[in-house]
Amino acid sequence: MSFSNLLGMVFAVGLIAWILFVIFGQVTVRKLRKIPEAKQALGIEFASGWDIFNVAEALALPKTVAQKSRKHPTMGALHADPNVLYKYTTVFDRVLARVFCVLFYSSGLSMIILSIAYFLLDSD
Amino acid sequence: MPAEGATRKVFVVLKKLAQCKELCPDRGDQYRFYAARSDVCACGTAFQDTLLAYRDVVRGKGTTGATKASAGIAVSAAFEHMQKHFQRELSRTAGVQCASRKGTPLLNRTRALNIACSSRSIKKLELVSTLQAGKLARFSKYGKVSGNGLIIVDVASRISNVQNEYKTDGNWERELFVESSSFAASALTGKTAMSAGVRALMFLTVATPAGWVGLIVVSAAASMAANYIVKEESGGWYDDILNWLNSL
Repeated sequence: MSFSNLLGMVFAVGLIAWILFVIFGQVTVRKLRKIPEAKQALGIEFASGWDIFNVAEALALPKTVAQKSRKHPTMGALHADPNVLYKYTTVFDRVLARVFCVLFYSSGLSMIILSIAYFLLDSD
Repeated sequence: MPAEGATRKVFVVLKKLAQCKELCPDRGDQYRFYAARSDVCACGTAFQDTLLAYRDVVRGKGTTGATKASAGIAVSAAFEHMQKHFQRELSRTAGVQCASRKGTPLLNRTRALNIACSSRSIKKLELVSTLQAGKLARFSKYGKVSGNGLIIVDVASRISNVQNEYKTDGNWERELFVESSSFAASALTGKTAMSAGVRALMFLTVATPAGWVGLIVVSAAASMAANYIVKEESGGWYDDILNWLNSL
């Protein structure tokens, strides 16, 4: 299989992940933004829509890890608060978050590996 | 009331300080001290909630039974509560934190402003960690503006590429596919590198300014690399897709 095909497949997965990003943002995070308590718990928004990632990560990671991240003394505010999010989300939201995170980060990681391979092996 | 005005000024100074400082120093004993102050933050949040409720009432969307007058009373009660807590914390802090003979930023506004404008080391600004812990609100606001600004600049340059292709009677649909797919790929890769890096910084406890700069450089490099390779390859994908569609 050529490099181009491999990259194309990774990109296709990434595209599906971006579509899920929009769906997750519209379905779950939009709902959470309307709840005052949850709005405070979405983590820092570096750019519009960044809190969608925060929420997805908090719901997709094991709960203890997400809680530990949130309690971190200096960088806790970067992350969403899983305790509050679990209160206001349904099982569907969490499944959506997990599928989105797995697709997004696996394709992102593959993209990084492929870029490194491209520049190291100087392939075409 | 003069006392109230002074408190408000101190609050403004604290906010200004919060803008200047990026990271809190890693000091366990300090945090125990700041943890006692979280009730001030809670009072601030409660005050904000009453204000939001007041706005809802004024707009006719408030909870049943709430009038403009009752909401106003709630607002002023929450404000008094917050002021009281803040004053108490202020006197306690000023008693403990007497580091310099020039006074502390909490009691001397000029001192605070001087520190905010000309601090050469992060250590001097440690008092703002309370506000940092209070969700880095200001910082995130500026971060949001600059983040969106960068995206707009990037998108604008991509659109101008497509427009140039159109003007020179090139295959602008192909160019549009190339630009948008490389944008998606670079954002995907950059965000992945960023997330992985934040976790790494956090659990390896290297969340220093140098660590942050390194992380930003690495993420930018990753997203530029992804942008480059997808730009190289996606033109071929576009041709493949069109060929496949034409063969149907």
